[in-house]
Amino acid sequence: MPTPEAISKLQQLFSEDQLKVDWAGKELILNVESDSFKNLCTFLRRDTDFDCDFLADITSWDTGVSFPLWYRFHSMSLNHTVIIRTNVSRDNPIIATVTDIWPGADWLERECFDMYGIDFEGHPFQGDLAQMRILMPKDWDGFPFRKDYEPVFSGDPLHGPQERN
Amino acid sequence: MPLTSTEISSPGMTINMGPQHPSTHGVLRLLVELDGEVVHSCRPVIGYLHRGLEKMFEARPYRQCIPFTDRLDYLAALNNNLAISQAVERVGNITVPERAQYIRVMLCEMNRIASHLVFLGTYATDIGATTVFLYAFRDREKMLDLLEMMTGARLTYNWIRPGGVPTDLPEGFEKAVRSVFEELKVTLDENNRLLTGNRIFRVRTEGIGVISKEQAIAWGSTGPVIRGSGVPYDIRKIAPYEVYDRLDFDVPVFDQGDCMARYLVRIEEIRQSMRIVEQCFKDMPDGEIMTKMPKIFRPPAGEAYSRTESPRGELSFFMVSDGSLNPVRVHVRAPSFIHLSMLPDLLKGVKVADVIAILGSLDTVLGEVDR
Amino acid sequence: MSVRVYTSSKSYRAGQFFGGLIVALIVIAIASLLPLLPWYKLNPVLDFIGMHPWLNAFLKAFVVVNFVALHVLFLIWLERKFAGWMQARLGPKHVGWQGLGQTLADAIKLFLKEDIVPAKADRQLFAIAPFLSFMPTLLTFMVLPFSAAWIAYDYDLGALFVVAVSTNVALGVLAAGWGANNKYSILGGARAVAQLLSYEIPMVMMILAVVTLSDTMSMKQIVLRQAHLWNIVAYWPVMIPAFLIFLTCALAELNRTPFDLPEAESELVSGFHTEYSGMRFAFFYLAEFANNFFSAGFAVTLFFGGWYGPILPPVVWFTLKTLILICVMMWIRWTLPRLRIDQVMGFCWKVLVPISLVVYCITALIALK
Repeated sequence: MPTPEAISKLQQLFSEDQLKVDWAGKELILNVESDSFKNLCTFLRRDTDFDCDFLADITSWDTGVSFPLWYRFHSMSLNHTVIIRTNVSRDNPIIATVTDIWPGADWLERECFDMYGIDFEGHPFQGDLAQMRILMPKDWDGFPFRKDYEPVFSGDPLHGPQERN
Repeated sequence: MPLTSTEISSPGMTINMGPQHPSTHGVLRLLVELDGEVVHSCRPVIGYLHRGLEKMFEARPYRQCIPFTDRLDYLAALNNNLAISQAVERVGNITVPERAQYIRVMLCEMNRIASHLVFLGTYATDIGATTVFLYAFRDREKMLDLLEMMTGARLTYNWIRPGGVPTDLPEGFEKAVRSVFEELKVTLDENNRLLTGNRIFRVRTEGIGVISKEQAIAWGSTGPVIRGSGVPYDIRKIAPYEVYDRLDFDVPVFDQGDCMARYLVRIEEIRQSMRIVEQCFKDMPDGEIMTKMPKIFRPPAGEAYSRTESPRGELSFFMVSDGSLNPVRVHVRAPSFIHLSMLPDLLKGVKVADVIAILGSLDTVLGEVDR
Repeated sequence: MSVRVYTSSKSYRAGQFFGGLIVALIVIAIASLLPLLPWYKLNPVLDFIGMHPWLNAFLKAFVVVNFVALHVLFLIWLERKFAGWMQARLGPKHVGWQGLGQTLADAIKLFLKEDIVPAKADRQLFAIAPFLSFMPTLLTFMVLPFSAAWIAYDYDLGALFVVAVSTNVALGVLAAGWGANNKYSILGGARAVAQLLSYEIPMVMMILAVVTLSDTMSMKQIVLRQAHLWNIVAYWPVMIPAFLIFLTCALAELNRTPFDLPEAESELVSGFHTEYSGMRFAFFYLAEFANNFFSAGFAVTLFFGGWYGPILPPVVWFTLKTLILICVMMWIRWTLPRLRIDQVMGFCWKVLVPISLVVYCITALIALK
């Protein structure tokens, strides 16, 4: 459980409108704006009071207006959990990658891209649609977990796209 | 003039391991660039089993999500049932009766034993020892018989549900469990003598696929993989759920980080799981096994997640509710998915035979990876 | 709802064991009675055959081929039964008594199957490969002495002939690996050739040790020298390590666990015979088991006094010893895991070759004395 000093350090670094600190039981929930997100991640990884060396999970969902992103971190040395929540807009879903801080984020970010079309800036495969796709076929159209996704017949997966008869 | 090795090296050969291959344990496809017998690079291709389960959850009431979780990690279906039930309970603020918690823990541990026995058998086959496979599956059959006695199914149990468990222990269950455990302890030692001390098995697994402590943490590995690298990360200890904080068990940790260490962690976990089940029988109180739940279940809006220790690692369900009948989003943090993402780094420069040894030691289940 | 609790039934295993023992005794008794039959009545026929060398050669070849085919049927059944016994299961059970006809049924199935040749395969090589690997094995049976009389051709250079001919198996395996145009096959073929040729060296060295001691290369003479005492007993300080090295090399030559890398199922699907089906596949199987029998028989000839033994007729003794050795090989196969290719090669060149050189040197000293 992060100490109050650590929290105040956090609040000094990030302004009130950028970061909102919240608690759920013993877990710290940090609501952050997407521009400060990368800085916060770097801070959490580097700072000895947080020492979030383990990235447990990344996920996203579709609220209809935005894609909230939900990151869960764990600190092996201090044994506490920190959750980061941030938002990206539906029109321009783009967020900084954390693969340079936690290599394990690679596939989790690719999954978010695959399902919601969220672009991770700085991801090794950013912009390369075929490489970014992970669960869906390389040439799939659209992002299936969006609430407004209409399934389209994109052809026989074995023999490429073809017209539906 | 003598030729240097770069001059005579031929262009690499790409082999396509899977989706139909005897030891990819499902529909995993590995694109392996080979230079002779040495792996140059490896790219896992997944998604062959992608059924969009997370999307299907969004179109169903909470309780109807349970059967789908059986199909995630089909070797440890009860652990998946438990994980999603916990997520639903947290999002809906439901408390579970104590007896139900004990029963849940007991069955999950029995399912863990069954799953680790499958690992023992398949891993031995990957290394080439076919006999251990049949011994391990014989023991697993006994565990499945016990689970069938309790839940009525052998693979997809669909049994743990939000609020508790549907049925109490059947008549004579404890006696059956004890007799099976007595035998399992003997056969486990037998398998140990046949495999663990075997010199060939040792040279095939020791020092192969080493994951250092730092790598294990950075890559987000969990379960036996991270414990084989010397990190005592076990959700049952660091964030106890159900009644694990009241039970006495050890978390086996090995420092070597190689295939052997991961194998030994799992073998030791079978013993610890047996300890847990025996304690559960001793400590289990009488009482309710199911909370009163409304027929139409509408949890308040919010987010919740569960963290459980499945046989493969940290299995976590993340759930978002908006107060309606169906969840808005269910996300599965599948340990196998994270473990597979380590493969390209792990497999660089190893021999073809080691690809199988390393892949087997991660013990991935493709149902969970592709979801 | 009930729970089935399996207990390892001791009585059942004992029953299986005694059943097997009784069958073995019956077979031995029948074989023992064979020499008592009035064979002399056939003398005119034998004289006729003796006068026509071509007919003689043809009949010998006929007998050898049929013997190989038939005993392979039996060996496959034995292997499966043995595996079942070791793995706490039953093995073949339904076709014939204790599943004895199972192999025959499988062989018929393989005969009837379509012979599939991959589209981009090298057709000629692909077609000829199974026979290339089967022929050398068949040839070696020519000089295998079942008894003083039961030897198809007592060649003076028998041991050399065996070494020269059996190495050609590698050719067939390589042809299969290359011809199938499959990446797993070529890997398997390459592994097989590397392994076969490497393990040939210590194996030849050990054959040479026995030949040096016996002072002859004729298979028959090698056995005749052991009339009083088996080689392995008479010169035990060198012959026991020699036998162990020979057995190891034989396992490697046969591609059996722990050296089954060329057909490592979990890595290379099936190695060099991945693409084969039907009768061509059956020929690989045939070659493998025939080779198995031959290797065991060769070891018996070299180390265990060939056909010599009390009471029972020589042929029975030879077969019995060979079968015991085959069972040892099966025991090893179903117990051990598989090595990696670099470990296999390292073991051969760094361990077996030096030891075999030392063993051979000591043997030479003994022979000189």
